[in-house]
Amino acid sequence: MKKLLLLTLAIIITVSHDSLSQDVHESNLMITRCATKPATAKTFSQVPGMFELGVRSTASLFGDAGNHGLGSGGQFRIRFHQQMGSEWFADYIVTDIEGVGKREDAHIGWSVMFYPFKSANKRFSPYLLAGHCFDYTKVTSYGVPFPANINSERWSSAIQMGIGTHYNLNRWSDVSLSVQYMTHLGNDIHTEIVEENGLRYLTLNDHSHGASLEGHVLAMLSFNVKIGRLWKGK
Amino acid sequence: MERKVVLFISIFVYSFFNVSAQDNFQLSSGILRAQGAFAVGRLTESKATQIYIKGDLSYYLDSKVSVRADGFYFVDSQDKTNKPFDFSHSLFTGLSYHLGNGGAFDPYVGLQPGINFARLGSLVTTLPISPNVTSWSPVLSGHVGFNYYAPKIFHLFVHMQYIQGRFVNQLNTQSLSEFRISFGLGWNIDVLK
Repeated sequence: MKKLLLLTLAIIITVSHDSLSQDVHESNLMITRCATKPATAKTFSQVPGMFELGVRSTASLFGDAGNHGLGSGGQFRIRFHQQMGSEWFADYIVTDIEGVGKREDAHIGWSVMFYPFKSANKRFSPYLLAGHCFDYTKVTSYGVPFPANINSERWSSAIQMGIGTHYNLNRWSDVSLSVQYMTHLGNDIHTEIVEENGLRYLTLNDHSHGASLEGHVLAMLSFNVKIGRLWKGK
Repeated sequence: MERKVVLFISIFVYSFFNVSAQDNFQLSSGILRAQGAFAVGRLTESKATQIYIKGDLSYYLDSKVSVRADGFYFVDSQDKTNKPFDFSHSLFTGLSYHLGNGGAFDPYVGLQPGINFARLGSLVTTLPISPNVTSWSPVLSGHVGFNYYAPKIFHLFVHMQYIQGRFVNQLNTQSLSEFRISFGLGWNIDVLK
């Protein structure tokens, strides 16, 4: 029995080795084919009119309550110029407030992206971004005792700015990582965890009188595919 | 009996790999692959084992990068006494980066943001019945796996995925962090040919 198992293992290893050798040969052929195509200045498609579509994962960090949230969403990009583009996004973020409450944020907005380096033919393409968005926030306090939930919600507007970089996987796709600070320009839903008689609960205080500059840091990881050019330009 | 099984597996594996190796399969842009299979997942916090029906679709932009979407439909938990969710369906979309050199053996890694839709099971609350509370939760997943392309239109695959997320709810918060594995036979066509 042991011998048979050893034999099986030996066959698999041998066959895998043969296959890999063949793959290496195929790869060499492929490299040769690719080498016949000279790289152009626009290999990574930083060209005006380029339309991209992508998905994103967002981490909300260092917000008002100090809790971290995770979000998902999507975006499209339109490139205006080799050194300037735009990103139009929507995402939904959920934050657990230490088991006593929940915060939900939904953003829909846009950013202008400025590329300080002419990096059309490079893997890394760093950028600065600044923009505006509309947002919806709902904070739910689970209350004490259950199920006396209370919640507070608001619509507001926000501005954001930050830095990021694309990493071009090939001429049609990139992974982008960015960090930005978003400041809400509307009412603040201030939260505080209160402890009374051994019970912890979340209090909500809606600052509806006057604007408040509440904000949070957002870190975004996105995956984008270049679909095509909307217009042709230099 | 054991001997026959081992011999059968040996012959099958040898035949499959050998035939494939002789075929000059070349990954390129335009390859569309799809598969459906059962997947098994293990939640890292509650240690519950969950079973899913999964389907995925990939489109190769070139031999190195593919766009990928995965859907998981929750079937049941293996252990009825450890069932954090009545159901927990999820969808992911993202990119895979292929580490191979464009040949038949195609290892890959990737990342996918996603969304999970789940209902808390009655066992994780103090209520005697299912609380009927559902929630949408954003999730992020990383995956690793390989395809082995046979001649023409099919391939073997092994896919492993780690999911990070949290079900946040007034009755209980539950980690959605889970390790999932699936394997089987997939289908592929070159849509640009």
